[in-house]
Amino acid sequence: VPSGGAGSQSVRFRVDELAARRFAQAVGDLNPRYFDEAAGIAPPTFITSQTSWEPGPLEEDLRYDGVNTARFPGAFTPGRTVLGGSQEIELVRPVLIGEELEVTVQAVETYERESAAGRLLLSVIEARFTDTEGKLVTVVRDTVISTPPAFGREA
Amino acid sequence: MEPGAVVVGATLGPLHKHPTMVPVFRFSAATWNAHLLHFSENFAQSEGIAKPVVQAHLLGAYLVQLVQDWAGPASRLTKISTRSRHPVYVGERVICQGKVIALEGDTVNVELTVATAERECMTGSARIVLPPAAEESDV
Repeated sequence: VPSGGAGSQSVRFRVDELAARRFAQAVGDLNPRYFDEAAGIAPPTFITSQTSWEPGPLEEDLRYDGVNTARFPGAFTPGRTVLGGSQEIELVRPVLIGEELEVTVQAVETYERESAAGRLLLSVIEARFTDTEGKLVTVVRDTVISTPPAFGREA
Repeated sequence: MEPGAVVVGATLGPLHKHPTMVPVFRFSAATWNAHLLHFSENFAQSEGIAKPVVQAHLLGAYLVQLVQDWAGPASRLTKISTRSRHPVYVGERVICQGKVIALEGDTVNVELTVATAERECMTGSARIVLPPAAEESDV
């Protein structure tokens, strides 16, 4: 994929009707605006929840736990479990089914935090979605938590 | 929902959800998420976690549903933030709720929670722009 700067990557993709509606079905959110041909709006977090906007990655390029590490660059340390920590989404305008978008993913910040379970590694990853005119559509900042190896194990 | 119909302190929900393995698997499929933590108990336990964990993004999507269903079809969600506080294990029932915390013109700010019967698992906030109030008839 073309690079957009240090640690960033950009991908063009189309907001697929079937995939967007399956997302809504999986959530159990049958909002008519997702299914009405005239409205043609995708669920707001359909594009921000994707682990990839391409057909891949190849299975052999996934981490041992099935994670696509390219989605969250810099967030992975060998031997650590990863969990979704927080997500901040700004929705500049609705995402339209069928439109073409470009997403640029970039690592923003990595820091550590002590917890009862040990030292956590938190990585902030930003994905910016723009339309074919270059106008901003959506921005999402995910904070991914890499836990100590023994996280969650009961004594 | 129109601005005049909203007051600070008004509640959203509850929206009840039951993310069993079937919806969790379908959400993984819909987001191309092969993370074993969401569907393999053996893997989860090998990582020191008791059971497979519901995707944080699925819980966030529940909150989107809560907000949009409350605000109505002419509203527009412009911002949503979520923070995981505790894992929701696959098969646990959750309750999604919200409360209006600020109202400025046609913009409403709400705070949000996802909780099981035992614990609060996700907190969040959202900003919604409501449609203008219908103009009064001249009749």
